[in-house]
Amino acid sequence: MKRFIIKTLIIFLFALVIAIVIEFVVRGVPNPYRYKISLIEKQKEDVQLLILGSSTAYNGINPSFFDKKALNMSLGGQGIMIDAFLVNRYLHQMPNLEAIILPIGYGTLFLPDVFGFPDGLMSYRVYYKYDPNCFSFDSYEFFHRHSVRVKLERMLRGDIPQFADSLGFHGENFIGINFKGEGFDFYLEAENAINGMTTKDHNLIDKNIKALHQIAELSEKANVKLVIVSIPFHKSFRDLDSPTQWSFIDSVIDSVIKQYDNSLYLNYYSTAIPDTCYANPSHLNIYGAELFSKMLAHDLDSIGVFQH
Amino acid sequence: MLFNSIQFAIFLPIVFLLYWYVFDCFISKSEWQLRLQNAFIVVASYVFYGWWDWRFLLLIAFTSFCSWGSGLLIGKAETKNRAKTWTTLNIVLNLGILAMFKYYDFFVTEFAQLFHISTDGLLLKVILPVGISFYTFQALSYSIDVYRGKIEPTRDIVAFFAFISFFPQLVAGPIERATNLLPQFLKRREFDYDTAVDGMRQILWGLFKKIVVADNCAMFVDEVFSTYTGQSGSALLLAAIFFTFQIYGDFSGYSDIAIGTAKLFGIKLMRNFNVPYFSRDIAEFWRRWHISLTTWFRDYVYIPLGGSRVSKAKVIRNTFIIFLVSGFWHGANWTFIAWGAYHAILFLPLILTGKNRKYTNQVAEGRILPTIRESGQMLLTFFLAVIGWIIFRAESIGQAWEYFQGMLQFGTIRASYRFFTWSEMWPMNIFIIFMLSVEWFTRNREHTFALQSFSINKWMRRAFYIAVVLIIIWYGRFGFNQFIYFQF
Repeated sequence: MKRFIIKTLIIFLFALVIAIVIEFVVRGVPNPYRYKISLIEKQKEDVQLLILGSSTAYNGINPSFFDKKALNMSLGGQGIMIDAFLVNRYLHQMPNLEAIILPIGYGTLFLPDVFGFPDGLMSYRVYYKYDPNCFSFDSYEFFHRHSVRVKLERMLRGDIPQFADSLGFHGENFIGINFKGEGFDFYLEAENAINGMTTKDHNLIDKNIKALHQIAELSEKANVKLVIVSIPFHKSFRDLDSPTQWSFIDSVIDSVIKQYDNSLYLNYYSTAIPDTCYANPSHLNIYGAELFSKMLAHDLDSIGVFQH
Repeated sequence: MLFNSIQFAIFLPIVFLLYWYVFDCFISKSEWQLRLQNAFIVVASYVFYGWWDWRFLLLIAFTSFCSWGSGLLIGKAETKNRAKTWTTLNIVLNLGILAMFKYYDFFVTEFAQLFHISTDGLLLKVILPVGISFYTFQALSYSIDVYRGKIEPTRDIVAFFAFISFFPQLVAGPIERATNLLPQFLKRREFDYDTAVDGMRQILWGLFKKIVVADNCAMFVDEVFSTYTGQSGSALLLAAIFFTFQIYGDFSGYSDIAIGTAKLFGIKLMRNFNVPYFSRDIAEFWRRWHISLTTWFRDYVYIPLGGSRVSKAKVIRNTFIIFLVSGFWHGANWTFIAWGAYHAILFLPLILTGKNRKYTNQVAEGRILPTIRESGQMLLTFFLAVIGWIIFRAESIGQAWEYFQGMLQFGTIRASYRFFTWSEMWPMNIFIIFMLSVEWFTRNREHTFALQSFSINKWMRRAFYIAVVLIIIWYGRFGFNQFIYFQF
C-alpha cells in the first residue's frame, strides 16, 4: 500500500516537476504582456497620460506625439474590464497622472474581458495578476499548449519580436496588418470585423458598463481627467455597422459624462482619414496613428485637459 | 460528479485513503472491516451520485431495497411458481420505474400524434436520472439469477446496496452481473499492489481516450452535426468518422476509468470493450462493443426466447427483438430503434448462414500486421459501423436521412471552416492514429496498459506514462463534455 502511494506520488511529482520547469521557462520567454506590465512598473511615477484599450489603441495612438509623458497600456483583445483592473491597481501609484484616454469602439461594451486571443485571459492572469483569487487552469501557462509551443519555439529560434516601443506603441511592429496596398477589399474585411462585435449576453454588457463607471469614478476621486475616445474607423466599417448599437453606446457614454464631471467624450469615429492610413477597416497603421495622435494631442491641449 | 472533473480528482484519493487506511489500520476484526468497507463504499457512492442530483438517491435506494427484498423472497419461496411471481414483480417494478422516467413521455407523445390528440396535462416532463438504465439492469440481473439458482440471495443489505451503487460503474456501467460482483462485496478486500498499479494504468489510458481523443473529436463533430445542412459531403463524412472515434473514446474511455478505479478498491469488473474497430464482421463487432450490455441481452432476453436453437423464422424474430430492444434501451427516440434495426439487418445474414461465430479469436493472431483480406474486412465493418453511428447521433430519422443525402453530395471542404485548419486537425488525427496503434499492438492484452503489455525498461515505461499525462494535460479538453452514455 505504502509502496503504491509512494510510487504513484513519485510519478505525479515527476510530472509536476516537469510542469513547474516548463511553466518557469515559458514565463521567462518575452511576450507582450510581460513587456507591457514591465513598462508601467518602470514608468508609473512619471506617467502623465495613460492610454488604455485594445488593438485599435495599441496601433492607433502613438504616445510620442503628446507633449506630456504618455504611456500606451493597450493590447490586442484587451477589454474594458481589464482597463478597469489596471486603473484600479495603478491609479494611486501614478502621482503625476493627469488624464486617462479610454477608447470605446463599436465592440467595446459587447465583448468579454479578453477577446480574440485564445491565451489572452491566461496571459493577463499570469503576468498582470488579473483575477488572482480565482484558481483556474487559466492561471498557468503550462495548461495552454499553444502558448507553450509558441513561446518555446520562439525561445529556441532566438526570434524575439519587439512587442512595442518604450512608450507601449505597437507601431512598426504591427507588420501583419499594415496597409496592404491597392486592391485591398476593405468591405470584405469590414464584414468579417463586424461579425462578432456584438452580443446578446446582457450579463456581459452590464459588466462592461460597470467597469466603465468604475474607471470614471476612480478617476474622479483621484482628480484625473477621463477622456473617452472613439478611434477613427474606415468608411467600409461605418457603412456596415449597426446604428442601433451605436445609439446604445452613445447613451451609455452620455450617462457617464453626465454623472462624472471629470470625464469628456471625443468622437473621431467618422473623422475623414485617407485609405492609406488604415491597416484594415478597424485599425490605423503607423501613418494613421501619427495623424490621429497629433489630432488628439492638439484637441486635448485646446480643451485644456492638462492643467499644467 | 464526472470522472474528468477536478471534484473527482479530489474525491478519489480521499475515498481511496479512507477505504484502505482507516478500516485496515484502526479496526482489527475482519468481519467489521468488511462491513465498514461496504458501508463506506455505499456512502462514497451516494456522495458521488448525489453530487449530480441528491433527490434521485431515493430512487436508487428504493430500487436497491426492492431488489434485495425480492431476492430474499425468491429464496424463501416454497414453490417455483411463487418464486416466479416475486421475480416477475421485481422485473415489473424495476422496468416500470425505468419506463416512467425514460419512456412514458415518448409513448404518450407518439400515441397523441397517431390519434391526433393533445398531450396537455399528460406529459410528466421529469428529468432522466443519470445511469438509471445501467443500475436497473444490474438489479434485474440479481433477481433473475437468484430465481435461476445461479446465486444465493444475500441477507447482507449493505453489501447489496454497495453492489447496486458501486460508484465507478454506477452511472454508465459496465452492467455487472450479481454472480460476478456481489460475491466480491461479501468478502473483505485486501490491498494488492499489482492490481492497484494495473488500475492506475487503465485509468490513465481511459482518460487519454476520453479527454484527448473523444472530446477533441466532439468539438468538430458537434459543429458539423449542428450545421449539417450547410456542410459539404466530405465534411459530413469526416464528421461521421470522427464521431465513430468519439463515441468509442468516450464510452470505452469511461469503462477503462471505471474498471481501473474499481481495481483501486480491490474490485474486478467485467470487460466492456475489446478493440471493436478491429472486427472482421458485424457479429464480431458486437462481441467486442459494450460487452456487458450485449451479453446481458443475450443471457436474459435472447436465450430465454430460444436463441438460435429454434426455427429460422424464430431466429430472425429473436435477432430483431434483441437489437430493437437494445437500441431502445439507449433512449426514447426512433433513431435508436432504427440503429438497432440497421444492425439486426446486418447481423441476420451471418446468423442465418451460421457464420456469426466465425471470428472468435483476435485478428492477425500471432502476426504483427493483418493480411490484405483482414484489412478489407476490418475496413468494411468499420464503414458499416460509421453508417450506424450517423443514425445513432442524429436527432431524428429525418435528420439522419438528410445527413446521408448530404454525404452523397461530394464537394470540397469549406476552407473557411475553422476546425479544418491543419493546426486544429493534426493533433486529432495523430491521437486517433496513436490510440489505434497502441490498441492494435496490445490487442491480446486484458486492457491496453495491462501489466504484461510493457516488457520495456521500467524507466522507459515511466517516461511513457509521464508523456501520456502531459499529452492529456496539453491536448485534453477539460470541463467540456459529459460522457455520452450518461444520458442513457
